[in-house]
Amino acid sequence: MTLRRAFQRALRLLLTLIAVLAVGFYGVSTRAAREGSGWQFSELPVFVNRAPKDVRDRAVWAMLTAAGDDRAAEIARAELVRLGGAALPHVLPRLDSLEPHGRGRVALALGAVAVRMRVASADDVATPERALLFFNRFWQDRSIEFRPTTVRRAVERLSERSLTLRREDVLHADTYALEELISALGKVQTPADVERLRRLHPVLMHITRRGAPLPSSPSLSEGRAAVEAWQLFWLAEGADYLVLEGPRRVAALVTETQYGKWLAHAFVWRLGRAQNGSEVAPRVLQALPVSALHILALLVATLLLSTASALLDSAPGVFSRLRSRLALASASLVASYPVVLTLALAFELVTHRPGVLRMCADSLRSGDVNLMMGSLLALTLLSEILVTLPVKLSTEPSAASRAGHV
Amino acid sequence: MHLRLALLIVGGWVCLGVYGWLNPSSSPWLSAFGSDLGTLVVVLALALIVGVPVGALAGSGPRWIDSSLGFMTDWIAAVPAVLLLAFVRPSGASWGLSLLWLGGLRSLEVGWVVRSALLRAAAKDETWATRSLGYVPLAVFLRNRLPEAARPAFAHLALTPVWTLLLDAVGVAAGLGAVSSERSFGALLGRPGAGLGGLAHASAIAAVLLLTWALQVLGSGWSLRLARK
Repeated sequence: MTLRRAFQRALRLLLTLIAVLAVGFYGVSTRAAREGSGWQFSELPVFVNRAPKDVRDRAVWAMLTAAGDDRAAEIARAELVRLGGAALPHVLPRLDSLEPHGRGRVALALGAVAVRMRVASADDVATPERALLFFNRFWQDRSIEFRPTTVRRAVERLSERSLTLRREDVLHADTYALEELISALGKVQTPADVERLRRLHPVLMHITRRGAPLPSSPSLSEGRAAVEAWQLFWLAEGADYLVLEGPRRVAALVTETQYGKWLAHAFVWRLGRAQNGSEVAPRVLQALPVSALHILALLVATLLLSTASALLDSAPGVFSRLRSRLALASASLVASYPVVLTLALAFELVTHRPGVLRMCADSLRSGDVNLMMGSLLALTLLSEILVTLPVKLSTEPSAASRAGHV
Repeated sequence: MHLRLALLIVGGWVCLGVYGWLNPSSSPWLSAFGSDLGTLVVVLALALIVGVPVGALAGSGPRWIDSSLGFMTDWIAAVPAVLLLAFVRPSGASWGLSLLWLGGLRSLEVGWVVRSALLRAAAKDETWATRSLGYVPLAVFLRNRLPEAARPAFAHLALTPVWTLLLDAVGVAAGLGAVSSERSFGALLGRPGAGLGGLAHASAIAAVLLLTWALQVLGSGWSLRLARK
């Protein structure tokens, strides 16, 4: 019976958490859509992405647009360079479907990728004709290398030992190797992990043209920070370099949304970081006791007042009156619990002692998604714990009657 | 005497409110009367029309209604009302929609109070005994059980003016915007130096407290009358 109750309570708490977090996320994502909020996923749908875009969609769009000769074509060419090697399996086999001028423009745009991959010199891809010739040959000779198993093996070899040849093998795959490279970074816990990072980090920097070089002998914390930066990059842009098929496509309906990205943040980096770069979890834990104290004080004060009113009443039957008044006050407290929490927020605003309630309101106002959701999560758990007191007092006398109630 | 004074206060509020409502460009104080009166009418009406029947069904009807109300109360209780309303009411929402949200929230609260009162009253239940004698339980329910729930329900509803004042004031002070209207007393109190001086602030608080007291007295009178019937 106790286990059943505990299970029911846990299930109820879980449902409450899901409902509160979903509604809270809707609210904060609306505010984060404004400029300057720092939320980098505001372009994505909030809860469901019915048409998640993968590298194939992006590459084909970029190829078709880059074949033109307008302003959009320039953007598309830059997109082709960004997508890099991951776009080649979707662009090169389709080049023949373009008219000759467009084909040349696309090949010329891809020239920068070939130079980055170190498979061509600038001279090889200097004109549309040369670039076209180069890519025709390149795809005939090396299309077989653009397979997941081949790239995985190349990355494994590089993470074991950094030799020029091994590094070149990975660079030849360019962004096609990003998924394997990011997952090969692993966790940084020992000096051996730092060494592995030192081998992979320069390759990642070369491919993505991002990041800063590591110090000559990086510490564990510097290593962790570098890995976190790469993982954040992958969280934000990973789907741009992947083909979403099968279960991955189904998962992308949820993962390629603002809510999915926040959930990934919350699980991988323990609620992530706030707008100012500070870690959310310690900030929330620090603010939690202040709010707990305010809420508890309000609950106790209300119950004490109802006790006093029952004791001061001159009518007979003090114990039954006391029980009845406490039950009544508790039922009102449960019903008005959101107002109790609002009063506690008012305390925090007036006394300038910010707790998790104030943190929640401030971060909602500024559209700081990670901080708002972290503080909301903590607030929900705190409220669920503290509301137990009035719930217990208000429902105890009625529980027996409810049992016989149809 | 108390009843007459309460009626006088409510009447005064209605007069000032209607004047403020019809002349929104008059003083902020009168305009706040109009705004708050509109809010109170909508919220109280919704709470009575929706909240009381929902609570009555939860406390006496099928179990699933009670469970659903319990779940709603549970998850709404997890966040301050100000934040909850800020979540579901993106900026730019109309005044009417805001009032609907407020009324919905108040209905849930009143529903829970009624449900709790009915369950307490069920301990000394006569309904089922009467049913065994062949009476229709609805009539007995309306005559015996519902009056038991009337007093706590009216007492809870009487706090609505303070409730809206608090939500508006905290919402504005926290930078999330007024919950009901930017012209309400709560919004004026939460925004320092916004049109009202210290004396006017005190008068606004006194006006809201007086109305709360008046509603309390009227509610108490009505519930006594219901119980006598």
